[in-house]
Amino acid sequence: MADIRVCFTKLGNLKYISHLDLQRAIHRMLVRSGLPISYSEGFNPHPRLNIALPLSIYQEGERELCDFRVTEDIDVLTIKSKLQSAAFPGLDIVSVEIADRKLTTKRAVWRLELETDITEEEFKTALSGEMKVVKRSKTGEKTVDISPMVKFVSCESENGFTVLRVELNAAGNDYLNPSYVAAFFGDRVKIKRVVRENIIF
Amino acid sequence: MSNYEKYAPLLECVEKPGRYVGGEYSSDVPNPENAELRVCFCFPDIYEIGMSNLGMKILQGNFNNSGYICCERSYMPWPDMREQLIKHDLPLYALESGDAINKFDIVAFTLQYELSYTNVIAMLGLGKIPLLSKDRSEADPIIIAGGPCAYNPEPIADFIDIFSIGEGEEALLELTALIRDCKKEGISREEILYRASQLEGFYVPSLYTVTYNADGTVASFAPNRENVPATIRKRIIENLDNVYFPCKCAVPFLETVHDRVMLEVFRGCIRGCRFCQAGMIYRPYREKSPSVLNENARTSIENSGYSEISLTSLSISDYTHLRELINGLLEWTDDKKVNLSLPSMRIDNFYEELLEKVSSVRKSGLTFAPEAGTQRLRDVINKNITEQEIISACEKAFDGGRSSLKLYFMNGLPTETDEDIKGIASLGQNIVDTYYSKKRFGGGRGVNVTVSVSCFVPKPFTPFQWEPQDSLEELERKQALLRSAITTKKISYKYHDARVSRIEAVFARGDRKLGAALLEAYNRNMMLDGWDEYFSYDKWIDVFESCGIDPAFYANRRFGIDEILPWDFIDIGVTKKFMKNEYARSLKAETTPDCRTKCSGCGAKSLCNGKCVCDGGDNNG
Repeated sequence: MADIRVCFTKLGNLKYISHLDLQRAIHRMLVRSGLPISYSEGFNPHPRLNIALPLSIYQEGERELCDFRVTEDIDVLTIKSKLQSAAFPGLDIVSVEIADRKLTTKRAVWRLELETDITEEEFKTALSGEMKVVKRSKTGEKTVDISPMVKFVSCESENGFTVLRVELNAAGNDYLNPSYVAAFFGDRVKIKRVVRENIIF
Repeated sequence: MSNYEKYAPLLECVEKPGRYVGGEYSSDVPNPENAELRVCFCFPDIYEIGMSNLGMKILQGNFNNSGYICCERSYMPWPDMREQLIKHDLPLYALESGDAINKFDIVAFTLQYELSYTNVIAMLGLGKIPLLSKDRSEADPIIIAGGPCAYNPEPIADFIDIFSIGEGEEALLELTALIRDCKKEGISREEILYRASQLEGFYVPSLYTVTYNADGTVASFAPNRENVPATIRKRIIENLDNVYFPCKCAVPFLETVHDRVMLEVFRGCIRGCRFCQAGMIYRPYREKSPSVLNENARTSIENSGYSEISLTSLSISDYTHLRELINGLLEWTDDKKVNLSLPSMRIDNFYEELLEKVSSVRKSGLTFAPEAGTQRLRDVINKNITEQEIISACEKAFDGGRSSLKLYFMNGLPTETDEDIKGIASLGQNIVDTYYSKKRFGGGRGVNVTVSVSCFVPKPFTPFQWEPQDSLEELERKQALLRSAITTKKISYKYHDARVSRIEAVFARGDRKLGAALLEAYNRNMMLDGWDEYFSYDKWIDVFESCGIDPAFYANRRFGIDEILPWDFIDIGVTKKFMKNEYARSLKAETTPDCRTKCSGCGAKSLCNGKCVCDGGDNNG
């Protein structure tokens, strides 16, 4: 019995797949892998799987995380190769390790590929000041300052796009979707691609 | 994948973009650059429906297994995506390569349902392919179609170059080889179509001329070129154990209608219900052996990661080796947490042991199809079951711990009276009473019997093919009558929209004159008629009116017994004489035994060199 932590990608056309659909696809990948997976009890047994931090549709991820449990001791390299052979296009297994602590996420590094006239200096200044945006939630809309949740990392130019890297809060109950960062700049930025590069836990 | 970049802005504006991007596990196809022939298999309904179709999986896999074909998929886009394609002036494309469907050598449609005809035309339009066969040029793909609705191809004949009649595994590879060779030699489109007509099982509408009588019935139907066969005989696979079966299919990301492994146990049906087209057109009855099925099931589960296997054949409890098959499957399915489901059980030979077994992992729903509410009407339609058998089967289901089941019926069957309608309600009531006749532990909620009633649609190649459909008013009156006859809340009553069934009836028994209506419907942006939110009865009536077509001529007319039927030139193996005989017996409420009990001489055994289930064999060796 061991808890296994997998780091995987969600790239390319997988950005068109919703979190629930991805979750079902990973279930099936686990079953196909032939690994001795621990199943939930009850009426409708399914593999016990915990995916950290759902990505929104149209977002990609380079180092996504999920945990599951195996009922026998197997070395992580075997697990990795079995998972990889059952994986689907866009999902690659980056690494597999034995989970030695609970998966508690803290922050995430995002790469926003943008079409914009905003300069590096401007981004840096703006992201360190107050950032009021309208946040939607089940209880309605409210204006909040997201700046405590945002940290500027870098801003570069790549193939004609501006690549803005930010580190955002990414705890279960304190999660900032990067779309709010883009929304703060309104019409001045056009998002071409959103990639979660790393999850810090 | 690069082809997809131009579609990215569209995909960001639609619901469920996963419908349009492919990339599912094991959805890879041979490299199109190395393929001698490219086929785009189009399903004329949305992704979630099309991905549930076993026939399409079989035929796509069969093409890609050939060594020279690359066969991709395309589905009917939902209106949001259609709007985006039109707005950006981009053609409908195949999911695997992102290439426009008009770049393919062959575009193939499967015709599962009359109300998807408008989708076929819409997909041609979105693919920038000329809609009418006669308008296509050398550069355009060859448009082929098959499936159950191709048995009466006439309503959609103007739009299709070649119809494939019957089972396609062998026949279609003969056609693709022909087209490949012709394309290599630079042979003209016209000549390709002619040569296709020389293969058994293919109908090329442009090579036939139809004339009509003053009353609108067919006066003559004949080839307009020499050596073109006057009748087209359907193709079948004699030995199902040896034919290709796809054990590695694309596993969809989206939740599809049948999101599970589908195992085809046999083809055909021994029963001969007189309303049922599938029961006639798929004759003769042919079984697969349990060892092959078990192997197919196991490989499919291992390759997909699915947790459910559904046995999909017409009347699954008729399978000779059902016990052996289920026992074989249960040897490994429990361990793998795989659930078995058995759709559409016949009631008569249903048994408790089986019921217990299929519920050993997960409980799946139970459905029975008595079809009619009284014994007299069940005899008319040749549904050889008694009320006692129905009740005792339900009792067994309740004893086995079930507290809900679903019953299928039909309204508007030939000779139906109000007594027959009320009989549905009283049968439902008797089943409810059966539940309460004993103390049961059903979790306190009691019993729930769902009575689901569809409207009878007379279909070609059935003994009822001559019969009229009830008028819309009459069908709706009967639906209301049944509603008032059901007096318990333990019965949930569901019924189909009679207006949809009427349009279905028009196209089911239609002729080539309906091509004009389909084109007019396309011009009025009508499509997705199988979807409540898009189906409009009034629009269809307007279309018929503007084309000078009387829908009642097709739906509500009793066809003359000696009239030339629009589909008479198709030979399904079952003879017209048999149909007439069955029709006559039905009107006297005389039943005909199933094929295993006694051969009724339908003629289908001629398709299998005279070997059939009625000879005592099950035809799988």
